[in-house]
Amino acid sequence: MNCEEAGLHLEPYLRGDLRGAERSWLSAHLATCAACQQEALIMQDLSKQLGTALKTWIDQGEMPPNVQHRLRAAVRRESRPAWPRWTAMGSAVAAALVLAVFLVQVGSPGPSTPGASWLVSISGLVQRPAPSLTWGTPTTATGKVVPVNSSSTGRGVSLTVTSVEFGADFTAVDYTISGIDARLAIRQPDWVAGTLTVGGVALPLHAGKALAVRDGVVAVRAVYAPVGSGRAAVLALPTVVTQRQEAPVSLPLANGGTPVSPTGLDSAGGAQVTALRLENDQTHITLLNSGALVGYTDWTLQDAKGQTYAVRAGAAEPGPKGYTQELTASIAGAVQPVQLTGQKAISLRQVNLAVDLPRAPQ
Amino acid sequence: MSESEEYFFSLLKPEQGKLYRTAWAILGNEADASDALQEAVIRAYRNFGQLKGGALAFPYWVRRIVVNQCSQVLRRRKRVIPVEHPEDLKEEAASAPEEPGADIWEAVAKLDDRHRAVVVLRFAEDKSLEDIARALDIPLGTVKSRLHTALKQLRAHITDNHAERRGAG
Repeated sequence: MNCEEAGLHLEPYLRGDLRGAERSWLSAHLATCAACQQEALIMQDLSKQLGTALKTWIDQGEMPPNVQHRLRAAVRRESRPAWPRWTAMGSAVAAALVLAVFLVQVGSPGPSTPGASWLVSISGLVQRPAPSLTWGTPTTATGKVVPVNSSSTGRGVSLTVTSVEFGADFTAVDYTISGIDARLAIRQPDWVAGTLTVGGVALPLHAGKALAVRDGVVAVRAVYAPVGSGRAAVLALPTVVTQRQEAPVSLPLANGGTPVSPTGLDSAGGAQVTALRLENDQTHITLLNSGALVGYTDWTLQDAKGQTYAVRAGAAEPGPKGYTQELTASIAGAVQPVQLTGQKAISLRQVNLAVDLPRAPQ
Repeated sequence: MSESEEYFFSLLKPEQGKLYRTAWAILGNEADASDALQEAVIRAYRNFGQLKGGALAFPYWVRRIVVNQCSQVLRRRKRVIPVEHPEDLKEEAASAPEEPGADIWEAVAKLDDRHRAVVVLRFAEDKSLEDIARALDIPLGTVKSRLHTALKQLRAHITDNHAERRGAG
């Protein structure tokens, strides 16, 4: 065992994790090598420092309030029926009120069916003129409307509250969400469902509706239980941002080890194939990503006859121009031409946004 | 809030700050830590009835769920191509410098995913090398080499910091 190998095993040795032959080798080496003895002392000190410091740092942690709200909301969702059914949970008064509000605001309640999802289908929304994304003053006489213009932005997603209506029996919040794929978001109520909390306690949601989609902005109205006189509420939106794209890429496999000219999925959040080589019946494809989103990828390789091959994806490695990922497929013999079909599910995962609302009138 | 929710959160509350930082330390940023924590807490709540040992056992039990969830996220990350400009995603890496342990955490936070996770599991969670290999789904030899590389980098960073402080003092 030389000093380099000894260095590799020093930490586990000092912790008593090394056994058998490895332990004996290292013990013997340490007995004769002054440099490694010195190294062992330094390593012992470093390990101790690391353990103490990391544990201390962790023990002092505090969970940010927005994460606390989110955890409580998530657990609450676990203990009760899913969002589409919440409409039915509201009181008859609240339900009637909501319907009245929507009739006034949109002119039509949209193509939603009773008992079905509260969301207007995307096709219904885009086919008829969308109402203004900033709704202005609702015309119901039952609550006090307070215009708001507060936003919270994170990871390219913005939540903007445009108005709050404080009623005796309800709180209606109008808000818009931008920066997400509206077509996908509108099919996923959880992505646009805000949680209204007062003093850390979430208020029951009576009803909600995505009223409009325009230029990638989703406008939502949600009606909750009353905030309470003089109380301040926070609207929090844990949303998931996901986009999917699929595009075939034709690759001239015949060129062997010569890099192909960049081609492939679109450049906005997409991937480009930068190199292709055939080695021991294995096709290696190098992919460069330089877009603006975080992506999960699934790929298949297809030959001219339509035969598909599984593609194994390696870990993404950061590089000077973006992230590269090596894809490998096992192909017997020369196959040409080959088409690589990539499917990217681009996901920003969860985005946590929170907007403070004005206090309810006394 | 139901009684079971109340009880669950009363046990979670004293632990939540530590759990949050554990997830942050393993995953390297607060956004992913929040995601993982949410998944872990839901899982814990679902299985709350199976907790043996009551309130005393809760801290260890829930911590194990959080660490497992974070390890799962790291395993999944192998498939992820983070094409977002990394600087846009960068969270504040360290807490206030006065906080005890923050200087070392700052150095650990600068390690890349692969090295940081091994260091945190090893020194904050006291996992054996075999456990780390299993948790991250990597060979034992890779754990050793990552640990070795990470310690070399940390040593250089900590030495530099001490030298700077001495220089500044």
